[in-house]
Amino acid sequence: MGIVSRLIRPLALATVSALALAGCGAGGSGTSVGDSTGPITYWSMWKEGEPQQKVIAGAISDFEAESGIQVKVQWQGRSNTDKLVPALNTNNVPDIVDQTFAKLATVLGDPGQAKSLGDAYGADVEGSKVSALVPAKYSSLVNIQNKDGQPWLIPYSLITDGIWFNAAKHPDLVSAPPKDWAGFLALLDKIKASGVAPIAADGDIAGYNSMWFTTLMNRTGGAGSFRKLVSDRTGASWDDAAVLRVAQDVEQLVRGGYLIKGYDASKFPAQQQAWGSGKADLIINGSWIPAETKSYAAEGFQYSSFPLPGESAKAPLARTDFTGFAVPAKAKNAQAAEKLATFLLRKKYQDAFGTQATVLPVRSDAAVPDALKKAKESLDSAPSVYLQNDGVTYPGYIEKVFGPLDDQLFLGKISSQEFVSQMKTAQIQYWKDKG
Amino acid sequence: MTDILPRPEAPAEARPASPGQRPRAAAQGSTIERQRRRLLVPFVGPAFLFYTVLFVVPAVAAVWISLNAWTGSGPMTFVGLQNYTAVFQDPLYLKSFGNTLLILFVVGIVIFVLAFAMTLLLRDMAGRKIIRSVIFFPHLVNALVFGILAGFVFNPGGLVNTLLRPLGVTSPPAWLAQDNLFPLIMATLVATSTGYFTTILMAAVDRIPPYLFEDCALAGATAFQRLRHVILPLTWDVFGTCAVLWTISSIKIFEIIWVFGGSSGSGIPPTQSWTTAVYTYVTAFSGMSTPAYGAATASAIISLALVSVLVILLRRLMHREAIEF
Amino acid sequence: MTAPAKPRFAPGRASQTLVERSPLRTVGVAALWGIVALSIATLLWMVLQAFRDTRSILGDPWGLPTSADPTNFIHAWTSSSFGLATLNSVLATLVASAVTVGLAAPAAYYLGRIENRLTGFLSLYFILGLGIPVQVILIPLFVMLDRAQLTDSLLGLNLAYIGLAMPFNVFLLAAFFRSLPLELEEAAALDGANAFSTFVRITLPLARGGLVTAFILQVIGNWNETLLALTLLQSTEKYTLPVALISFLQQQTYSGADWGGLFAGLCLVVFPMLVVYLWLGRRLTEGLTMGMSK
Repeated sequence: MGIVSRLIRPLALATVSALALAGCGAGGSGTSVGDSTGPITYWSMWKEGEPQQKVIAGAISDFEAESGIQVKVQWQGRSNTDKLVPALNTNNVPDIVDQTFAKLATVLGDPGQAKSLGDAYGADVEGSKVSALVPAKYSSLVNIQNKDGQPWLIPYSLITDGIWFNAAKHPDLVSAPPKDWAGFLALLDKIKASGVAPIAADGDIAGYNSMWFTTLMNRTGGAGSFRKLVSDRTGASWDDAAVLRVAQDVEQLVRGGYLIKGYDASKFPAQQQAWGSGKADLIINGSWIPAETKSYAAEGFQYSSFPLPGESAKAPLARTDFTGFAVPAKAKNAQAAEKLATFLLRKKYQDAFGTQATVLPVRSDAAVPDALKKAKESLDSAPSVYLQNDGVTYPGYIEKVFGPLDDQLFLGKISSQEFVSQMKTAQIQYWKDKG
Repeated sequence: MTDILPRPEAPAEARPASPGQRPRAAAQGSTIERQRRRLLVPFVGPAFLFYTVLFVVPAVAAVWISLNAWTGSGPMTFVGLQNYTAVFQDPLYLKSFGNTLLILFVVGIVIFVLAFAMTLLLRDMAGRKIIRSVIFFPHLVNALVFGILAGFVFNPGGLVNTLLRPLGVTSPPAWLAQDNLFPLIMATLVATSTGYFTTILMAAVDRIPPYLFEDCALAGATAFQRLRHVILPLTWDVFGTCAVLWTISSIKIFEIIWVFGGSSGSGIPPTQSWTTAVYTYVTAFSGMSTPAYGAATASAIISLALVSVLVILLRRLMHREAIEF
Repeated sequence: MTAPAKPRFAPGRASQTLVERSPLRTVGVAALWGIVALSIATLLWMVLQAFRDTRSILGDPWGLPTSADPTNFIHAWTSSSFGLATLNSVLATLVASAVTVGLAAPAAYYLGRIENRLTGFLSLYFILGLGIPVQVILIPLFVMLDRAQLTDSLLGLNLAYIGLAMPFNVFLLAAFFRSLPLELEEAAALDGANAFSTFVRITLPLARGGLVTAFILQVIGNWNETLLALTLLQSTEKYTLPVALISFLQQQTYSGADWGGLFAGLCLVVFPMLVVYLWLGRRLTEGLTMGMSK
């Protein structure tokens, strides 16, 4: 309520008093949050007709029948969180939204606008506690906890990343993927010798370019290494020889001519299309890539993946991201919304995510699509996980500081040495500006 | 005060001062004038109210927001001018502002040079109406369309390169490389805006009495001399209005840059092609990090202030006595 | 301005003699026709792709459709509810544009006709809004509209369009009214008509060209407006066409590309504008120039 009145007060002095009056009745409703069990409003990241939407829509109709709680769904698509930002300043917020972790974190989690879901994690779903269904290595990530240590996100599916390839063409990689950086380079050389581009990359997507650096960084120093690197206000962390080594590895991909021609001058999704049609053999990408490319992939394409190996074979860890539900702190029907969030964790719907929607369900006992079997294996075997950009969401850091310089490194415009020293300067400036 | 600020009255000032056309001089004391004055509230009132409530009030609120640290929701912290100093010190902002100026001046100059050239050509060319209609049309098309088409046209395996290959061009330019993106956007802006301004200038040129051109022909004037001594002086006021319109719209250019880079709108375009409008938007709505709404608003207000200064300077520079004919 | 004082040639013949034949001119003429051909070809290409499927579009961008199969259009129309979105766009576009011109015209008339300190200040007040980007006022505007329960409502979107369009329309129409001769109005006044009926009976009909221009420009602007519609509307059944197109585009992430459908969607966005333009284009360009030149 605070900001709204603070924002409105100077305005009301002008001509809006009449407008503001219309909303005054709702002014004091802050205490009654979560009590009612009226129909709940759900802003979905899916559009009607998408596979995930069908699964969720099915679950919702079962939920309505079973609980008697009505769900008003808006199948808004990916921009649902963009719409949420302004809405949070009003009393007219949805009771529940879903998105990927990174988006939910920036609009709900970080600003403290998400309701604590500690109770929901204690709820019972088909005889198990929610906290048991969501594996502890995910729920224990601090990024999805608020400042009281309570989780604010209930994931229903997972995202991971890796190096993707056509198993029909490279059956050997399914059983024996490269174990370390040297092995990876040997594989690239082998593919290159066969006359095919080893790696496709949509160089215009900063988030894809940075996967190389962040993944290799965490491979070297363990999960949280990248976050630690960028959180250093003195910038001295960039002087570490291990950091330079990671940058050199990325540089090696560029200088070694392993990347598909034109990767630095194309528009997404041109290069992943080239990969799907067999013009390149490997691509670093998320577990959404099979679903995303299936409409144009070459005949008989069999999706499989292996984790990008680091310098040495140690530190098996995996990137993960959640797609899941969060409940805005201002939601009027929070309890009912939490019920819906946990409802999606039932085996039936979790299986459906795997079989119908080609995504990784969060429950470890649920069905996994063939294309994602290998990705799931490496996710399961990883003792620890980290989030996209290692969970870094400092305002503007990724888009304005790291992204642009990492692009230059990956697009071959600066050397690893220049990258590291420029990052150091930029990071010192960034933290200085933040005060 | 009104003299140094952009005024809409310029076209009127530049109008030939024929008797009875200057409202003030002609209507002083007449009954219709007095009656008209009474219409202030019913005539201007509704527009004033709509504009004030729906535009000015939010804009004033935005000024307040720019003095605070705010994530777009949740508590605000008053930080005074800190957002402004931070934005000014951000090299990325300065670069974005440089790009805005590039669009304003380079694209602007190219547009008007082309528009005048086309006006000259089209003045007495067969098929002028068809051509004018076709070159105007891009102005009506949603920028999203250009963004999506750009990929198909300029990708390494896109339309342009597949056309060039049979012509023996084996290593075509990297059209969509980060450094080439901004020039490409500028070219697109030229392509979409030139027709609009050409149309306006053409109409102004059409009002020039034909005998002046005939005099030129008799005197053996070249096309350039014709432009310099007849067209430019006689269309100067229209040109001035166009220049102001372009200045104002150029700082708001956003969508086309947004869709040209970064997967047609779902990613962020490379910083090489940012303008202040993109900087503002990313700071507030990137979706990748916690929004800094105060800083975003501050950057927008700085741009607004700087461009207002430019518009005033431009109007001073363009201010000339209108030539009667 | 009218009736040139010293006509030396009959106009028809004169313009004939004026056509020069310099090489530069030939190049220019050729370039212009080249641009025209290129523009039409691009439009045609876009339409043709809308009849093909994703795999073949990507396989050969120069290929032609094998049949006039409207599947892509049907898919885009139904699955992304472009149908409903088109209806919403038409509503948001026409209502807002009509009200905008209806409100801006009297204000512009007053500000254009009467020159004093107050109108000078008011003109300036309106004009300042021209430079303010929508992004700046987005969140405060949202909060206000929400207080009045006008978010997620086409009425609210219309109101926002009207408010935001005031500066440009007042600017354009004031210049236009100023260009109209005063004589007729004064004659009407002498006949005893009051100022209001003079405005309605004499000035408005005279200004029809300018009003139509303002209206059409508004229609174009609102038809293509994306940012406000994206922010203010939440329910899919209220989406306007650009918002529906963006969701359709974003759907390609995670759920697979459908380029044929996308091209069909682009056609749905572009073609209504083309029709309006072919129908009203001449009026538009003429009225536009009347407002800006004298």
